[in-house]
Amino acid sequence: MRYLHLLPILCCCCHLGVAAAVPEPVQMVEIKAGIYTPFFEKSKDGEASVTMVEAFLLDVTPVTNALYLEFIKRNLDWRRSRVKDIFAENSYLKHWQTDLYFDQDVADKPVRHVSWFAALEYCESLGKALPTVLQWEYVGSADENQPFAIGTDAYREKILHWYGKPSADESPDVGQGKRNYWGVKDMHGLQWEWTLDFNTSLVTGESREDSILDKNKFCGSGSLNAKDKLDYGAFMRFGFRSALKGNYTVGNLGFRCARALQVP
Amino acid sequence: MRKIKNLWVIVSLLIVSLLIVSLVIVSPVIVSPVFAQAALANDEWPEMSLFHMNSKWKDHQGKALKLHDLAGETTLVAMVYTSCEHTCPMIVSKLFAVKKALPKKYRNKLKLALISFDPKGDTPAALAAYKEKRNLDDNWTLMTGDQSGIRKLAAVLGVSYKKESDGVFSHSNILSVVAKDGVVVSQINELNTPTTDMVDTIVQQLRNQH
Repeated sequence: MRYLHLLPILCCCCHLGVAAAVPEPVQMVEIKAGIYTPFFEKSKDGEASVTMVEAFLLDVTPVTNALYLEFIKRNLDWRRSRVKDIFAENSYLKHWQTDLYFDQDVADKPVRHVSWFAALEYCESLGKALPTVLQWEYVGSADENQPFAIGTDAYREKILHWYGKPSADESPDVGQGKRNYWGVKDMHGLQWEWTLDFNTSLVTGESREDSILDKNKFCGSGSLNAKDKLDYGAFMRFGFRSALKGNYTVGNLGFRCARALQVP
Repeated sequence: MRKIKNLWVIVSLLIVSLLIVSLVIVSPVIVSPVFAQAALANDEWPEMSLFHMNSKWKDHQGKALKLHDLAGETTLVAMVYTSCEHTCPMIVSKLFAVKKALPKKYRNKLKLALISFDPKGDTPAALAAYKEKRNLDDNWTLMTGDQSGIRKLAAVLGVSYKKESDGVFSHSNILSVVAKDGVVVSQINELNTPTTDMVDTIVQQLRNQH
């Protein structure tokens, strides 16, 4: 009883300690295997080319500023003041006040101004990887009710609406929207996302029409035939990917991670 | 007296806990100088130097290489693969053309490197055979690596590439000049682009080399 008056003080101290606590790790969901027609399929005698996407795990939401900070604390070479320009250009994490501090308002917003090298390092530090373009587009083709909503008016309208909005400085917190068919959130509407093989995108200004690869710029026998010419969102994403270099950081470009299923 | 003593106990407890909490928050910053030491080793090269990349490669003689083994030389680099039947031969021809356009005294000072997209097909032996077939002298190094190293180098050079379902690679026709400190100082993105600017840059680099 004598020391009961110490209790509030001890509680305060515990509370302060907890304030420095680690954020919840991102949940992952299993994406089931399936047959998928990639957006730019290589046409063979007019046949649409399909591919098998193996089952894998994907983060439900994009990586947040809070989670990215935890990564930097364990990997100090990735601080803004330490990282080499070749791995992340000058605008890396420019929305943070210092190397290790950002406004608490953005803690649960998707991290942005991060380069491909940084995103890759983050995922690998957790035993994960960036999703491939194929994996990302496979999951991104879904709306709330069906896995392949590309080609439906509702899907197209939603995407066009988002792409038509001017880019706000900060997006909402992650996870506010509805889960898509796969249980994944925020594939569209918050930001663009890095992919492991973003540089497989061989797109030029002519790609909206059926075209053979511009022999001046590219070596190869392929032709680019877009699966759905009205899928403006996909053209934007593929065009954007083809303009990126590994050290680029962009204000509306973040990422999430993927992982192979454990072999039982 | 007892009341004051209790007060001091409380205050000291509070101060100690605040100290612990602030140490927890601030500790990464205190610890950082230790990491700064380790990072210094790489600071000999400029921030944009390719030599910061630690990827492992093998040359056409099977010798283990890292990108920083190109240090000290001016190197003209292209990413290709030896079983290519499309424009890769034209890329190699363009590399020859750049070399030929150099003033005579500089021609043998330029190093050239072909880096393969195809680790499976382009073993050191395959690279050696290709070097022989295309009559590439000892100023040429042919390199093969792993998927990750290739992806990262392409990401830095701005090279797009894709393995198609029939095993053929579609890829950018990009030529890059890597300076002796690993920084990319000139690039040509299309086969039709004149080589004049690149040649001028190479001459500047070679002048500053010796």
